[in-house]
Amino acid sequence: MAKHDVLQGTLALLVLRALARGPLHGYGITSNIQRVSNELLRVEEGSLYPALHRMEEAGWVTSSWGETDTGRRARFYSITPAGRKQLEQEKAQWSRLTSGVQLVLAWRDA
Amino acid sequence: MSWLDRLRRVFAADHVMDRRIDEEMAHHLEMRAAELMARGMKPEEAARAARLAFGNRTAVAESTRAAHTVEWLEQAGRDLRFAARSLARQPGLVLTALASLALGIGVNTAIFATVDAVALRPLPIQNLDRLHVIEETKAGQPSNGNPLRLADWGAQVSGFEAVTGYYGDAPRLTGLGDPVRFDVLRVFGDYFRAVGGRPVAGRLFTEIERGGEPVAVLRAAAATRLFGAVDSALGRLVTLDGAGYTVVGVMPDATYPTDVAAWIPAARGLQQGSRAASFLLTVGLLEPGRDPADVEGELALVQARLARAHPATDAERRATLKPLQAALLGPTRAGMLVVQGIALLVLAIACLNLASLFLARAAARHRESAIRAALGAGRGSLVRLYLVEGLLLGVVGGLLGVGVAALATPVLRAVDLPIDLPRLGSAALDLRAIGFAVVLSLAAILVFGTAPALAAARGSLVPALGRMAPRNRLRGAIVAAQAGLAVVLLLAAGALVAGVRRLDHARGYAPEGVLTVRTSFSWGTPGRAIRDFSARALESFAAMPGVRAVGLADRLPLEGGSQSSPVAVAGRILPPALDQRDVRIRAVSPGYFAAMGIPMASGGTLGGRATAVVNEAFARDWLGDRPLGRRVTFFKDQTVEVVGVVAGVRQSALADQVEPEIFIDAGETYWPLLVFLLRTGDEPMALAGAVRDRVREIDPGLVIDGIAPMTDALGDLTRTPRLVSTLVTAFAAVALLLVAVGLAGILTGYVNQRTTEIGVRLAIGAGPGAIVRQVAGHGYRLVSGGLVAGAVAWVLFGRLLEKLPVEVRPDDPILLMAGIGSFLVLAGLGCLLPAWRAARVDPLIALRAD
Repeated sequence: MAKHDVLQGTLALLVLRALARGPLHGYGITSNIQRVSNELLRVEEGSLYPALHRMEEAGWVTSSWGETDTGRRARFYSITPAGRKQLEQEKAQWSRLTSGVQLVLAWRDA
Repeated sequence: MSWLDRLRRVFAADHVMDRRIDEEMAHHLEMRAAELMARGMKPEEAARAARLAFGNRTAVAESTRAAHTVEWLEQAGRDLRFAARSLARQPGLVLTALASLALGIGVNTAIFATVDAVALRPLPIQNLDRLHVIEETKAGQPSNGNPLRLADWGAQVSGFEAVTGYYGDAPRLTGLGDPVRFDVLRVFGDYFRAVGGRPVAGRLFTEIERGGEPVAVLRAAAATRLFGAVDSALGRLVTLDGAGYTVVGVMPDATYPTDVAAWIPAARGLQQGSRAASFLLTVGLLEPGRDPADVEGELALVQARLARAHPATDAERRATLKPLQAALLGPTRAGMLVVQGIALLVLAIACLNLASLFLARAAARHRESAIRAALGAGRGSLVRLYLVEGLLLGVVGGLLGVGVAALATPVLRAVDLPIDLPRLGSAALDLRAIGFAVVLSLAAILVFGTAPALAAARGSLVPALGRMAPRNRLRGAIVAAQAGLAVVLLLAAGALVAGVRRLDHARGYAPEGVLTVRTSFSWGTPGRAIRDFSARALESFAAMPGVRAVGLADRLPLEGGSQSSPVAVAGRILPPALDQRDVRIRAVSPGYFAAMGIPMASGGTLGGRATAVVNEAFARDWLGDRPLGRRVTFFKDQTVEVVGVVAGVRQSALADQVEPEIFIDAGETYWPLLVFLLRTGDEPMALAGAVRDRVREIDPGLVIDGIAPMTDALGDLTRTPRLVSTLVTAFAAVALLLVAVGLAGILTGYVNQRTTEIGVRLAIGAGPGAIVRQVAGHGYRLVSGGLVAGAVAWVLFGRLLEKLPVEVRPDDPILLMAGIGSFLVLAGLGCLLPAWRAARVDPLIALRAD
């Protein structure tokens, strides 16, 4: 199983992207990211919760208690307008980074 | 998120956050385990695997919580850095603010440390809370206590556990090296039971010894000085004025009062002597749990009974209780509290000036604020910035203030003030003083930090509406408040200066060029010895070159009385108020009046046996139209003939009216404390050496207690009011300057805002005078409210001044008019510059500006 811990600095991007589709609880965020990435990406629980709380502090996400489909009480996170703005910025940054990396990789040897 | 929310989160609802994090993590593990079970794991295995995958729960919870705290700290750090940067752009303003705060808080804290040590902290007396001074009046005049009356109170008032009385004495100690003066307290009743405390060696007086046996209890320091150690003092003999006293015990150094070396039971003769003499300070120790008011009532009943039993001495006599601490420190405390109050007022004015400066700065940053607002910064962030700026300045200013106080307190302690400040040496920058500094800093922050924040919170941030009206109104209120405080200071300074001037003038004698020479014999020295010495000294002094007149007196004016007695006048029936009233009987030499420069109103000076000179106050009330030749009787049976009347001499710093006095020849009464007066040329102290030589020629063993120009000797008595008045005047000057500057500042803003309006008025023909009137009118409207409030505050503050040993007249119309008048002149100075600028506005430029 080639599971990769998410790259440093991309956790916020991934979490915001996951939340952009709708509110999720913490476990839902990890399992969604894992599923959508074909199990290639795995979010470390040890960094997920501090990150979520930091993002809440920064005003990118808000959270409230809700019920899961199994009727269990859980903390649901949802993205705020400021979070969406942040997501756009991080996306743009990510694509600049990857295209840069692509260009360097495509460097032809003279 | 606001600061408050953050604070709430960090401090109040910590456990809520903990519970939330726990619950989130538990839920996560549950879901993971459920997923693993769905893939076929057994429940325990799944739970274990989920836990393993999650890692260290405590560590995760910790770092999750940290997300909030760190965020908050970072935000606070950002705010502080931003405030510091924003302040650093105006170093002049910051320096002004810090210097005012450091000095204001520092000086106030140092004064507080002194006031606390001298007047507020309890005296180190064991039974202090139960000890009350018994104060007496006779026919409304203050009077001292008598041993027989004291014993009656002790026996008849059930509320007293013990009573004691005492007087200070300074006999000559001989037989242990050179003869020296030895300060002792002659005590009546059970002194040590009343003040409490245990001997460090030996024992206290037995009941028989208290009756007048020749025994002494020494202070530890004195015992060590004289005999090497406290224990070796026991059983030794100290010889005072030739009489031997056996040391039976040694008390610790802290025993009250700390300026005596020994306690000695008063002589039997004094204890059982006349009921007429009043010479004691009397103190009662209340029974534990007794209400002072109750005991005072009981004392009044007992005293009424005594008045019926001993009408000759106890009629018209009242006794009341006053807590010992208040009685001992009352006058000092009043003076110090006045100085502290004045210093606080100046600090308040300085803080208000800072508030005004910061408001002006906020107004000047109006454009910056508007831009920030347009970019999305909330009004809250601006309020927060101003608050953080205030906090930063307040904390730094307070710290600097504590530093200033740390430097100033030892200086205050070391200053050799010639006024009596007991315990000044113990003044220290302790926790109480630092607490005081913290309170001052917080108050200062509240004043100048919140003013701009309030204005920012209320003010409109829309540039188009930016007329800044609310801010100016706030600054106007600040100037009004300053004006009020300054008026109080001005009136206080005026009242004190006037009071001190009254002390200096209309004295009724001419102290310039007079040398005073003090000496004293011990009580009990035969009168003949004192008379012989006085006569030879007067003769010898009179023969000195440069001496124009010599005289002798028992005390100087302003020093209080020596002896007093009701007086009967032959051939006149006096009304009861005069009949019972004590009149001061002063013992002087015939040359006294010439030496003091007291003019005779009629008759001549003392001459021959049984003659007396009286002052005009006595002549008017007791003797009627023809005072000369009348015979008066006092001290029960001493009768003298009035041969002269002198103009009034003020005897007290407080009262303006002159008390009745009778002067008799010092040879005809007994008083062993002598003040010689030598009227000389302009430099009286030049004679000091020669005076010492002559005294030594007459009596080599006599100790001279002091030689000083009379102006100094009197100056000492008025030193406290003089010092307070100087300080208050200096503070008032600073305050007025601050207010004038503040007023000029706000009027400049007023003129700047109205440049267009002023331009229009000038363009349509208004003269410069009208413009000056407009600006100055605005200035005076601003301060007038404060003026009224200040006058009201003065009524309260003036009452505090009345406790000083100087006569202040808070309601003196001349004072009020002069104070308010000079304030108006100063306000005028504050208006001058802005008004002048307004009148010089060029209409063309002003109209083109918009």
